[in-house]
Amino acid sequence: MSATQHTTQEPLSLMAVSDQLASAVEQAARVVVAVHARERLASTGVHWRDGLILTTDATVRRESGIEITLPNGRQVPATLAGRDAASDLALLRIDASHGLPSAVQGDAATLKPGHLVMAVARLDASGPRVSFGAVSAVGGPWRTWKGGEYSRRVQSGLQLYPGFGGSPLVDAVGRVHGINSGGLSQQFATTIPADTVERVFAQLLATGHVARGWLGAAMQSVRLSATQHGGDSTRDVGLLIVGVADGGPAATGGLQVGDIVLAMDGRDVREPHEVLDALGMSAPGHTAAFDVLRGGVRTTVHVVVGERPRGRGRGWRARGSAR
Amino acid sequence: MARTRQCAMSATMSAPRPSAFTSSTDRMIARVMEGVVHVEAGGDGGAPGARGVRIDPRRMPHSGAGVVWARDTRGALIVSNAHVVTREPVRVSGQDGVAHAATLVARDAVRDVALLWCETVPEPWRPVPPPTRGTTLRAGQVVMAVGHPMGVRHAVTTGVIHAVGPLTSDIALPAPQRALNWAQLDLALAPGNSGGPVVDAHGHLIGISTMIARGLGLAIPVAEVDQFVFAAAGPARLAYGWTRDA
Repeated sequence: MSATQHTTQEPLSLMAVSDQLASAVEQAARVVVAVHARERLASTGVHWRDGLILTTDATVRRESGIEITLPNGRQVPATLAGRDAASDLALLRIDASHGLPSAVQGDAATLKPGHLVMAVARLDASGPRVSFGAVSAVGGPWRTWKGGEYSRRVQSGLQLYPGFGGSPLVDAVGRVHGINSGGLSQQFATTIPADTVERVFAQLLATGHVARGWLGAAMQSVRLSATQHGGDSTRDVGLLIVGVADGGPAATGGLQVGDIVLAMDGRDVREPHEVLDALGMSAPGHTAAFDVLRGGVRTTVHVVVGERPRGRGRGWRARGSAR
Repeated sequence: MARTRQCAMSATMSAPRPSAFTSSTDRMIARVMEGVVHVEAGGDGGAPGARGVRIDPRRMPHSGAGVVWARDTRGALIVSNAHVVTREPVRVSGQDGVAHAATLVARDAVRDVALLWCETVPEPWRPVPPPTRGTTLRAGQVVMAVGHPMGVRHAVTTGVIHAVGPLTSDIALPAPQRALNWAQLDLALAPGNSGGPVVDAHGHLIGISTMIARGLGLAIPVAEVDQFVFAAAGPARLAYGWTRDA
């Protein structure tokens, strides 16, 4: 029985819902591939367009000898075109002549808690695999513990089984709302929203990596005394520099341990993440002006923003957490 | 008068829309439940040991669920898991909780399926509707399991088909069982579901809940249960004319 037959006759039947979900899986599975880039278990990838496949960075554990199982079951070689540990995305390239369709993107801004969603994975030639649930929370822009900047927080109550890292989050009509990352949270499936994926995709395609501004200074918020803020009670908090990286942009530009940063490029900063946000937006090479208090005297220090060192993201990665 | 009737009409017309979904699902589930039994096997059938009495685990009964497969006036064929029906005596009970003695007809420990014969067949027991010929399972379609998870009698669990086929090599199961065909379900099974039916959105049987592997529910596909039942009871079935029709 076709889905349309049910939707016209019985708009509310469970059979119609069931058929619709299975059709959505069929639709989405045409762009879902298996990625063989680690020992033992494969992970999942999404054919974004033109022979370019996205998966999660954490599941790509070797940079050569990567293979892809296509939806038709054929296994083909792939090359690593770029990776970004902070946003947990890696870009792989296969021969575009395989003729896979492009992913049909949904707008993650339309997702609401309660919407039925699925993760569609592929691990081998045996067909797609499905995990089912509902969107549990949608929030604003956020920065993950790996340092990636996502346009919104999308969490769903579905289980990411082993190999589901890199799977698309699919709605009930088969649109791809983003890519599921297994390493970001334990209890809920966290999705990298499609617009963020698109932005990182473009950067990885152009340069193979994502350049982020870097200062090389550790800071913490401190309360300013009346003499320090000079009677301006709205400026009662600053950022104390507690460490600078040797040879880093902050050290080169003249920022010193003990300086209290009041503003960056004319904007007040009260929390370290405000500086990180500004750095994430600014391209390396930009000269940033820092208003600082040094020994009670206000000065301006100019720092040429560097590029955040690449490599393996921020801090540890538990082996089991990548899915 | 006419105005009152119109009000009554609009009330009845607006009410069924949201409830049509649930009432048809309720009917479907109620029909499936008529074919679900509780199965208890082994043990001495008596009361649990008194305080201070050492309990011998080998004498503790195993329990799970079972599916009424076919019935006639002489009795009913019930399918369950081999790990539920480890040995006789076997007692089965329907929704009324009344226990009836059953005998073990056949058992396949690898495929984990067992066939029971119960000579007393209460009127409400009806076989779970078999699948329509030629239906194939689709990843993503809605499925429901009925059983007694954690001892909760005749409970319903909902999920979707995860995949169909042999298991991937990383799942810790003996190789012969990994290589078998499984209906793999994104559905939360619990101890007590074993041996119970998994049905599709029509309420048609698609498999027998059997185990949990890496969070996935595994069910024996109905076609394989059919083969087992036919091999074990085929000749008898021909002789007695058992029917799976409702």
